[in-house]
This record gives sequence, structure tokens and C-alpha cells, in this order.
Amino acid sequence: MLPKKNTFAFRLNLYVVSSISLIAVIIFTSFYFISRDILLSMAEESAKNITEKYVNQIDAVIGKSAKIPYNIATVIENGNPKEEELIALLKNIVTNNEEVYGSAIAFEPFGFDENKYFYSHYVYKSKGEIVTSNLNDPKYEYFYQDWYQIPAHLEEPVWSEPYYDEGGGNVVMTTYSVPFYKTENGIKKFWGIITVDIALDWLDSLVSSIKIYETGFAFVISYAGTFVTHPNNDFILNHTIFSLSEEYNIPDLREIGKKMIKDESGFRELNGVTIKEDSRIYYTPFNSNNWSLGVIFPDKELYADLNNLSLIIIVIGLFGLVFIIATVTEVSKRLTKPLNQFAKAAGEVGSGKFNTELPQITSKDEIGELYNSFKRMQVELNNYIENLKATTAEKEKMQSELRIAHQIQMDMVPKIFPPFPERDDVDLFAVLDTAKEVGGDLYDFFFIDDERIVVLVGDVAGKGVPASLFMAVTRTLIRSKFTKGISTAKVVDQINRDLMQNNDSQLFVTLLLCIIDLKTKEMEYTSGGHNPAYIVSEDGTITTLKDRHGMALGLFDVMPYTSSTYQMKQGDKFILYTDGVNEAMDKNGDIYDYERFENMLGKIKDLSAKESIEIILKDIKKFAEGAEQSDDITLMVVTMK
Amino acid sequence: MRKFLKYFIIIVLVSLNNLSFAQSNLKEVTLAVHWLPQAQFAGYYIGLEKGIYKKHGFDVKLLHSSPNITAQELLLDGKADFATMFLTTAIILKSNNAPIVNVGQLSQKCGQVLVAKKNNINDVSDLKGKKVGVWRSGFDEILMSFSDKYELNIELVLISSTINLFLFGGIDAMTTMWFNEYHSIINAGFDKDELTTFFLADYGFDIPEDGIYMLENRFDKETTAKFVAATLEAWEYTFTNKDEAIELVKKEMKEKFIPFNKPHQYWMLNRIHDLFNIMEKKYKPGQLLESDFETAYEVLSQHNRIRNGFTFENFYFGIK
Repeated sequence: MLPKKNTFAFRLNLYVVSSISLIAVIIFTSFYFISRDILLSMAEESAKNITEKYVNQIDAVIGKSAKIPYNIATVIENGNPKEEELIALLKNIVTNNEEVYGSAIAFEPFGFDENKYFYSHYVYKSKGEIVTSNLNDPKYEYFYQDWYQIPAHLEEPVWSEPYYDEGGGNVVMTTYSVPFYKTENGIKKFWGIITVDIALDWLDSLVSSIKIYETGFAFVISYAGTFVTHPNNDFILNHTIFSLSEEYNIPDLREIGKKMIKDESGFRELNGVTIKEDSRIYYTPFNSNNWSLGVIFPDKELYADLNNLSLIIIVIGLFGLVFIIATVTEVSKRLTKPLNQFAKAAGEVGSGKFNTELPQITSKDEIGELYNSFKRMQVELNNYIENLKATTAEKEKMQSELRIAHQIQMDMVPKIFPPFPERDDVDLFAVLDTAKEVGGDLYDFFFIDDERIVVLVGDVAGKGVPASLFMAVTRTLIRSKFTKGISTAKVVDQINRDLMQNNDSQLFVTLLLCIIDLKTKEMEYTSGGHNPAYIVSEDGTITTLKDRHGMALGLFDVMPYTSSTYQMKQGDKFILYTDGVNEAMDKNGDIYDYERFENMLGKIKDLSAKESIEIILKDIKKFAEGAEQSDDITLMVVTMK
Repeated sequence: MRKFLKYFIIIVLVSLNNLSFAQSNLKEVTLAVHWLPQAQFAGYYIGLEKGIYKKHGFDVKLLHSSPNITAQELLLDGKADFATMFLTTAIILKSNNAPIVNVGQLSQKCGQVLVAKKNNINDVSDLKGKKVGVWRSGFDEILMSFSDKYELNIELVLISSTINLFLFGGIDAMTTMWFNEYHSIINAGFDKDELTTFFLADYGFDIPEDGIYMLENRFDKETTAKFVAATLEAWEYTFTNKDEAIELVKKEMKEKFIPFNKPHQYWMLNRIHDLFNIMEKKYKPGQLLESDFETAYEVLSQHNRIRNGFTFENFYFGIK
């Protein structure tokens, strides 16, 4: 299923899936935390509403109860009620107020009756009856009890800390104590305390009814942090929020408790309270007394919907990812299938099967374009190959023609040595070593009578067939011009004029033409722009025939050619050559040159004509060091005997 | 495994002791402690529960005081053979001709702490003319001597039993027991650093508290010494096995329907441990130092609480 590494599908998957995953993670994380924040602020709002609603209900009850002793205090301060009236007032309170369990009035020592240290009345409910009693027990000494002492010292009404009722009925009670004063001679003096005892079972049931999600709950703590209500009954009146913080080692709880008893409201995290898991608490004080209501929201439940939703999103996301991988893999397989076929086809074309069947593509996309280009390439390749075949055939034909021309050229120079085996007065040897292409060198020799021999060396400028033909024409003209007694100058003159005619290609030939009388050993020669020839004597002396008698033949008819004569001796070697000798090149482009050539000439005085040419050619080959020969090399040696 | 063996041997020994004393020579004695069940008396619960008293030959019956009847009343009425009480209480009783003697002193240091809210009172001189609460059941002598010594002229406010007057701000400061009310104030939301504390022991009033008392005419040196030794052993065990002791405290409190607050009882036991083991003083276990007696006697004399004078020798019959 999964694509293999190094495939197009794998890379595409890698890029696509990682990009999409990254984007998805970013979106999901933002979604999660933003939603959390929204949920949290909603939870805070809802917590605030819930607690305020309940606090208002509680305050209504407490506030109503608080008014009762307050009103009585006013009555007492403004009149001098008799004992019966006081008892009647208390009975009235207890009878008419359901939440009031008991009510007491207690005076300062000798305050009501100057003979009585203790003076108090206490009316309370007991088993449905209204019981009238007092708190005058000397052991009890009501002056030192919280309900009396605290408001007396503070000079203001006080809600007592919660306590269990004396009857042991396990009902949590609180007492609201209101001090009252007597004004004597304009001086206001503390006179006594009126109280109402309120059972808090209603508070417990009210707060217990607050249900937050599944396990969230509410509780009330008093001014000293004591639990007044809590789902765990063991905490009530036994633990303070601070002792709980100590017992379970939760410093946060102490911080929260301090804010709660300081009448602050707030919403904050609480880790692992009585509820064991991370949660949040909203707390707000009562308005009527200094107690505080706390509401616990378990985080897990607060975020339950969000967490469920997140789970669904993650599952969908994972399925989506699998789907994307599958799709990308399939699509890339489809896309790359023709590519694979093309790769195969290209391989076959590469191996020479130009007409290989291409994959059938009809789409108009990039693959379609690739098909068109491929098709075009195939056609072009075929055409090119056809052309190449034709061109190659033509070239081969031409080359074979060139070979024939070369053959003809070679056939025109005499190649049978020794040429005159019947004569012992002359030793002649010549070589025309052609370059790769057909060149324009020539040499020739022939007798014009019994004693006189014509020897010549020429070099047509340029190479190829034209040069070769020009050489053939020159050779033919030379042979045809000799008549009895004609001078070399005259022959060259005539040939020059003949060559000039119809020489549109502006070819020319350098020529050294000599007539040697073997009997007298006198030589007449004409050099038409040719390299100077050498005479090597029997004693090793080298003489250069420097005379020039005109320019190369075939271009101009400015001045008639002249000629020179040279008297040779017996044993002299006459050396003719073309510039292929002195301009032979090695690999570096350095030329053989006259110096080395002349040095070689110094070594041939005792050799035959053939041997002389052989060692010179050998030396040239040695010099060239395998470099390709660029020009025809022509060498002729004529030895006088 | 070794621990298990140790316990096993202890159990066997205890059982043997029980058996050997079962029918015979266990002396029945009644001990009255000076308040309702709490960790202050953990040592006695351990002494009973772990058979330490039995081991020393006593079959002890434990009585608790209550708001209705005090330990000294139980002792004087002959309902208890031994009673625990504060040194000052005992000296006052004795000066009123109560025929009691101290046979063993457990506490070695005064546990009274004067507590004030820090923003109002930061040192002793700040207490001048301030309202200071003190138990009306009679622990005001030390506080008054403190006030006199530093010329504080404090206004004494007698309170019955709670810390609420202080919490509500009706008084500026109050005396507390370090092992008890001090911690209650902490657990009513005051941080330590929000309170100024004056340990009265640090101001020259190092008057130790809990001691064991009996009627002079019932004094029998050998039996008494055994009983005190058993009590000291029980406390020793208690201080090394606090978790176990707290469980017993819990049990005692639940039986008497007194709410059990674990951190508070731990605090109490730890502080009792501190007060029973004072490094700075040289005393034998269970000994009342004459100097401590003199300090107490002096303070009480100053406040005319000594009706009939007596000497340390008349008062203290314990180890010397």
C-alpha cells in the first residue's frame, strides 16, 4: 500500500502529508486552546451567576433573620421593657420565625436589675414546644461567651462562628448577636446583647443542591475558614480550609482560603483538592455576614465536551490523513505510469529502435505535451538518421573518388626504380609520400636524348582534387613542351602561359625544372618560386642552388623566366625536394627546417640515392614523432657517376 | 522481615506479661488527665494500648477532665490516684492546703505564646495598654508578670475557650498554648509571618506545665517511681511512633464525639514532644528542677496567689 522510498509517490506524500499535518496541528492547537479559553470564560461567567444566585438566596434568609434582633434592640433602647415583655418578645421571635431556633437577651452585670449579677432570658424550641429559660448559670458566665463578648468588644452586631446545637441534635447553628445600649446623662453605655440562634440545615440543603456537572460541588466557610457545609460531613465544623490545605499539602488552598475570608471573589485553578483532580474554584462572599461560598468545577468535566470534540476531530483527522496518503499515492502512480512507459521507450530509442511504440496518451496536460515532444523527437530522429545515411553514402562515394584521384596522381609519377638499369652514369631515386588527402606534389624525370635527362619537382598550392588535377595538367604540359634544344626557361615560360589560361580558381605551382647533360655533367635549371635545391659533393661539400628565375607558375605573365647553369662533378648528389620536407611538423607545431635537413645531407655523401632518401625520411618521421603528416613530402636524389 | 520479627517478639513479650499479671499482682490505679482527649495525652493512650503500664505492674484506668470536672477535683475527691496538671495550678492548690505532691514533671518548658497581629504589634513595647485575651480558667499570672516586668499595663480580657474574639479583632493579642490555639490561629487563615509571637519562656517566665501529681498520704516511693517510669517509657514510645499515637488519639476523640482534625493533633504531638525534651536544661527524665519551681512560685507570690507558703521539698517527691 505505502509507496516505496525514492519514488515520486513517496516524495509527494512526504511533502503533502507533512504540510497538511503541520497545518492541521496548528489549526487544531489554536482551536483547542481558544475553545478552552472561551469555555473557561463561559465557565467563569456561569460560576459567577450560579454563586451569585445562591448567595442572594442565602443573603435573603440571613438578612431577614438579622433584622429581628436589630428591631428588638431598638425597642429595648427606646423603652424600659419589663421582664414579662422581654420574655414575650423572645417568644414572639421564636414562634413566628421558622428558621430561628432560639433567642436570648442578656444584660451586663447589674444592668437590668441592680441586684442581679446575671440577668438573661432564653427562649428556644424543643421537641415542638417553646421553652423559656435563662443563661444565668454561674459556671457558664455568659459574659465570657463569644456570642456576648465579641459584639460587646466590637460594638457591632456579629454572626458567630458556626457550632453544633447544645441539644446534640447535630444541627449546625450560628448566632446573630446585636448589642444594645443605654443612654444615661447623655452617655451611651453598653447594656446587653440580643441574639437569635439560627439553625443552618436549610443552608446545608441549599448548598448541597448545587450540582456542578457530575462531581462538582459547593461549600461554605465561615469567617475563620471553618467549613459550614461541605459534601464531606467530616469537614463540617472540624476542618478549616487551612487545616485541609495543611493535611493534604495544597498550598494553593490556603491562598484561596485567605482570599475567601477577606471577602474577595475570584476564579482560579485548584490542583487536587478535596476533589483529587485538577479543578477550578469560584468563590464569592456573602453580603450579610463574612462567610464565603465556594464552587468547585472539575476540569475534566468542564472540558468534557471539548475533549470529546477534540477526540472526534483527531480521529477524523487521522482518517483524512490516511485518505490523503492513499489518494496521493494513487494519483502519483497514475501520473507516473506514462512516465515509466516513456522511460522504457526512451531506453529503447537509445538502443536504436527509433520506431518503438510510444504509450498512448490523449490527455492535454504536461504528460500530453511530453508525448507530443517525444513523438516529434522520434520523427526528427528518424529524419536525421535518414539524412545521415544519405550524407554518409555521399561522403563515402566522394572519398572513394578521392582515393581514385590519388591513385591517378600517383600513377602519373614514375615509380619503377632503378629507372634506367642499363645506364651506369646516373643513380636516381625519388619518393612522393602523400599526406592523407590528395596533394599537389609532383616529380618527374625523362630523357630528351641519349645524354640529357630532365628532372623536375613541383608543388601545387592547395590540396584535394583541384590541386591534383592542376598537378596532372602541369605534368602533361611539361612532357609536351620539350623539343630538341629548348631551354628550361622557355619551357617554364610556355607552361606558365598555358596554366594561366582558364585558371579561374587561381591555383599555382612552384617548379624546379632541370636538364642535366650526363656526359658533360652540366646542368641547366629554372626555379619558378621553388625551394632551392642542394648539391652534395663527394667530399661532403653542400652547395645550395639559390638562383630563382621567376614566381610560381599559373598566376602572372610579367617577365620571361630565365635559367642558370651549374657544372656538376662526378659523385655529386643533386637533391630536389618540396616544402613538405623542410616544413614537416612535430606535435608541438615546430618545423623540421633547413638546418636539420642540411645536417642530414652531410651524412649521405657515401650512400646510394635510395639509401639517402630512406635515412632522410626516417629522420623526418623521427622528428614528427607520430604527428599526422600535413603535406606531401617529395624527395629526389640524382647521383652523378 | 527483621521489623516483623521485632514486632512479633514485642507482641509475645507483651502477651506473656499480660498473662503473668493477669490474675495476680496488677495494681489498679486511676489516672486523671487535665483536659478532654487530644494529642496532649497521647503518651497515656500508648501506655495503655501497648501494655507498657501492665508491663510495669499497673492496671491503669484513664479519666479525662471535662468542663464539668477537673483533674484536680478527681484527685482530691479520691476518684483518681494520679492526676496531671500544670505546675502553676498545682502550686496554687498546694498553697490552699491541698495535700498534693508532684511525683514527676513531664513538660520542661513554658508553652504559652502571646500572639498578636503583626501590622499592629511588632515588639514588646507595642503591647502597652493593649487589650490582651487570656483564659479565664486561670492562666493569667504569667501574663500579668510579663506585663509588669515590661511595664506594659495591658488591659486583660478574660475569654472562655475560643480564639474567635482575637480573630474578629475584639482584642489586640491573646495568650495561646503553642501546641494548641497558636496552631488554630494559623489554621484560621493567619500566616506565621502575619503574626508577632512572644514565647513567655524567652522573657524569663520559663514555667513548665504538665506534671504528675498524687495525694501526699498515698505516696509510696517504690510504686510511684514505677508508675512515673512507665509513663516516661510510654511517652518515649509515643515520640518515636507518632503515626501510631495519632491513630489512638483519633480513636479516643471519636469515642467521646470530639471532632478529630489530623493536622492539628499532629501539630500538638510534635510541640508536646518539643516541650518535653529541652536540650538547654540539665534534668533527669521526669525531674522537676528546683529553679523552675522557684520561678513559678515567685510569679505566683507576686500576684498573691500563694495563700500558705511551702517549700520545694514539701512539694516535689519525684526523682532528684
